[in-house]
Amino acid sequence: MTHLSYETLNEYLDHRLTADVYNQARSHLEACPNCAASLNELCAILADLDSLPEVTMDVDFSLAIVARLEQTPYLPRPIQWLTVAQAVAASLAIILASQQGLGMIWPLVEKWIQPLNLPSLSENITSLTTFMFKVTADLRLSTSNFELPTSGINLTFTTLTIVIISASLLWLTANILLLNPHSRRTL
Amino acid sequence: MIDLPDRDLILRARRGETEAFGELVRQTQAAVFNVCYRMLGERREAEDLTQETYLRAYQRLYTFDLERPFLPWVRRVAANLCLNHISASARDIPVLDDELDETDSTSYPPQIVEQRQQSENIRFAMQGLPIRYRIIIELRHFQDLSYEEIAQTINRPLSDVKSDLFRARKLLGEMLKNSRQ
Repeated sequence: MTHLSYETLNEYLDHRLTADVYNQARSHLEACPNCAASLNELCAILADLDSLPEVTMDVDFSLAIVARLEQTPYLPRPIQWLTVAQAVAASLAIILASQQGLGMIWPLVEKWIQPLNLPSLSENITSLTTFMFKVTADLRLSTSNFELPTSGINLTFTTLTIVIISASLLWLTANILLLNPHSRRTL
Repeated sequence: MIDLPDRDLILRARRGETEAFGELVRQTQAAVFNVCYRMLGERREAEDLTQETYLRAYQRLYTFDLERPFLPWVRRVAANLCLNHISASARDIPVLDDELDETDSTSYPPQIVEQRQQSENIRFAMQGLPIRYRIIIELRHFQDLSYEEIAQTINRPLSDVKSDLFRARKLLGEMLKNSRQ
């Protein structure tokens, strides 16, 4: 007589056997005292586990947890992704703003857009504004060619770069502090 | 089937009402604490992990399926957290509060003392199991998960879950037999 394996006995108790195999195992157990004894031993282990009482708690955690949660506002997944996207955008801004970054990227961009023969941005603005003046001519507004306005502030390219990099770094640092759970926990 | 009040509490908690989540904690904290205590065997550590479980659960509320009950979900979160905690601390040595020593056993009837001794033996035997066996015993016996659900929860193949479960039971049986001798 082939005895039931320990695996089969486990699956028998866990109701994992197919109906046919289960019935065969049950018939075998009725006829085989060795396997029946093994099954009883296994049942005793499960009964021991079932008999383990629940331990009582001395404290109520709910107030402490609520207090901690109020310092760690719930951020749904889309907002978490948005903050990650913003961080990536800020990092890209730093790269793009740096002269070295521009020096690396601009030749590639120029190579891509050159075949399109696109007019420059200032040409676009000038022609669009001239068109707007022509459209509004019947309102007796004087027409004139548009000239790009000047800001009055003489910002050099280097100054502008430093401002953009500083703002991006400040933004990134602030968001890292805000999103880092350790920096918000007080308990 | 989930109780409507639970569903309402979870929806309110998702909207940021921490008091609603506090109510869920009040309802389920004893069960979650017991998961941690069975896994860790040390009361103070179990209390810390119970709190961590709820903070983790709160951050993952968006993943919770409202059609399912909250308690089994949060108990699973607790089991996984304990597993990670033990793995991270590289502690696989039994640590168990000796609660019997804290009380005067002579003031209880012999039957009660015997029952408590038996419970401590079971807890001690569980703590003596390797962590991968302990988590499977916890999920199968105390959380009543199927083999497939265990495999999904601990992210391991079904064949590993089955062999570990059977070995864990065998080892636990041997340890309990030794403790009775």
